[in-house]
Amino acid sequence: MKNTVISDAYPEVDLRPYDLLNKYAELAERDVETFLVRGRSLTACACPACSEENAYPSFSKFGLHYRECARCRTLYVSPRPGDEALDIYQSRSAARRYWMEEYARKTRNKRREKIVKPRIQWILDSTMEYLPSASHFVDVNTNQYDYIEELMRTDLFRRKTLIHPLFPMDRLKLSLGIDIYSGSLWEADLGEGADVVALFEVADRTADVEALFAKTRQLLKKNGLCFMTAVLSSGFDIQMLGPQAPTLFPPDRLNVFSIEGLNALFARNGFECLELSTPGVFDVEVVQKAIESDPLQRLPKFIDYLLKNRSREICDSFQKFLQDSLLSSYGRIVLRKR
Amino acid sequence: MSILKAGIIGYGYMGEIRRTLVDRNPRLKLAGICDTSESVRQKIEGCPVFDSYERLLGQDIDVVFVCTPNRFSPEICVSSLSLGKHVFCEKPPGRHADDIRAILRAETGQVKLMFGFNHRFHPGIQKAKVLVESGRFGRILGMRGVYGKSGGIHFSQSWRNDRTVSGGGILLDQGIHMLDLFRYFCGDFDFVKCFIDHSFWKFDVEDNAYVLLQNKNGQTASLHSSSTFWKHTFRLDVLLEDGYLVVDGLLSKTGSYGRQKIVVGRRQFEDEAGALGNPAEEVTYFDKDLSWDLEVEEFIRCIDTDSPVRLSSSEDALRVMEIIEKAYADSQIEALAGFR
Repeated sequence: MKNTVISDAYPEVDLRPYDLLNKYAELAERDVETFLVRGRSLTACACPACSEENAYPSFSKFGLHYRECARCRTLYVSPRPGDEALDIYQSRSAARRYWMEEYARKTRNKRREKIVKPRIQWILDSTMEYLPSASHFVDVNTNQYDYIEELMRTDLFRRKTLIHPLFPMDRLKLSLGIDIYSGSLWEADLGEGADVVALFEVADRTADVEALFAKTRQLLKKNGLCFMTAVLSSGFDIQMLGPQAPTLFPPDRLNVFSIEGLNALFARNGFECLELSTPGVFDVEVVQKAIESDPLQRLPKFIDYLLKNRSREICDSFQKFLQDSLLSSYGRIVLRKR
Repeated sequence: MSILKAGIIGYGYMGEIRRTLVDRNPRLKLAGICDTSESVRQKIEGCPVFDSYERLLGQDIDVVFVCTPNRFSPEICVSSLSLGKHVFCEKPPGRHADDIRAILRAETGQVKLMFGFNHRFHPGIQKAKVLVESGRFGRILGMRGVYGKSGGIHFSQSWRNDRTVSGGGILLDQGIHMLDLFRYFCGDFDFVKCFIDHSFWKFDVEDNAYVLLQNKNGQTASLHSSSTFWKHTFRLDVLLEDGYLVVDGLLSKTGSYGRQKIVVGRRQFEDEAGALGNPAEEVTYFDKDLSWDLEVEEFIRCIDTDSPVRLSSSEDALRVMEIIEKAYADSQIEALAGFR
């Protein structure tokens, strides 16, 4: 297995302007209440990563309750809404619309440069490395319009299929070789199997993770690859800030996996992990900002001292250490179907 | 697919590694091991044991792994090929380029011959190869390799430092891997310059070799191969028009070369105010060395599909031995005081 570390430093605000993020969170809070909580039936669940039943209550956000798995320390919402309700949220909520029309548009250039292009390059390089004969690429539930635009420019895959993209189709000028499956993932039948399936932050916002991986297995050919990204509970900023971590709220983070939880999840579902990296660059900056904005924030003394009294270079080294040690909260993973 | 019956000739360090590979490969069945040392033979369990390679070759075997010191490998390869066995031979494939030419003469289209340049199959090297071939970073301008070890307390007793058995020192033993990698990335080299010394160990083979290569495409490569690196080191830099790759560390049995990683950097002429000469890099660490298994699988694939050996072929072995001969000739190794 390999682990990748990235030294490309840039300010968090380039990708997450706090005014936009706060507005998005505000809308999400209202929409969660409307679409997922009020009058809805919620179902209690075991840990979505390792299946452990025992968990400790952790915190509540937007009327939903997070628990921490007693075995693998994955954070997850339980009881939780089902995937049908989540699909409705994704297609109708004001929060989702705001994300697409304001948030994504205003951060578009930086997102394209810092997230979308490197992500496409990662897919291309890793596919060339592990499965150069791959011809059919399938993306599941993407919410990134720019990513699809970039994907269309690549010529590595003969066929590209989008399953249930979470944005209006009329914005896409589809090129030849792109198929759209507008129905739900659970019913998708692509005929020809996929060589590569992409699940970008999809496992984070899926209620039935077991079914997601079973479906991914079904979509993939033997030895097919699955690329995924996820926010990780084992990451530094999530560990330090918990519920105060700026991006940790439902339903985008229904599941916040730990490294140990992910490994259990992959093994149980018949996937070999080829790459598990945490190339996040924002953990330290996010925690520093939290200290600045709330001087009463209580952190372990050593961390408080380090982040307040050491230079930018030392803090960058610490961020690199987090990446090296799989302790950043942004995870990227390549799996192979066994 | 049928099972291939395998014999191992020579049961030293490499022979033991090959046995492990044969035992865990479902396509191979160990048919026997040969070693001329009685004490070594006494330690071998679980398969027929032979005291001469001729007796092993007389058995019903399909594949021979030749893991003997350089002096003996060519003769065993030639005999095995002549008897219609597929041959996998460790590097170096002999002491001189003429040894390889003799092996080549015995090579027929009916059987497969592959050499153990396993570094091509290391994960960092494979990743570098994919990146270079993607064309993202442009053409290779040059390469720099550093490969060295510290010797150690038993170094003086090793056959590798006896010129009559090995044919050369650290360049032929370890540097040959780096030269093979230079060829893997850049193809053949036409010009060879070399300095050597043997000032520390004072064997009749070199301690250090400093080799400079250039080809007609203008690509230059330099190698420092050493047995006086007190810290075990493997580092390969690939300089490209639009970036650079560094493969550092080696997933060896002891782990003494460090965890293997590849550093990928892109040339940054823009926005130099923020990162002058210090561009953003991506570093990938590798934990698993599958190089031994992958090269054997490639060998089996060639046998199964009756396709020519393209990786670590006899042609590769000959070309790299020719570079080493030119390097030794340029360094005037024979003329240096104390070498003979």
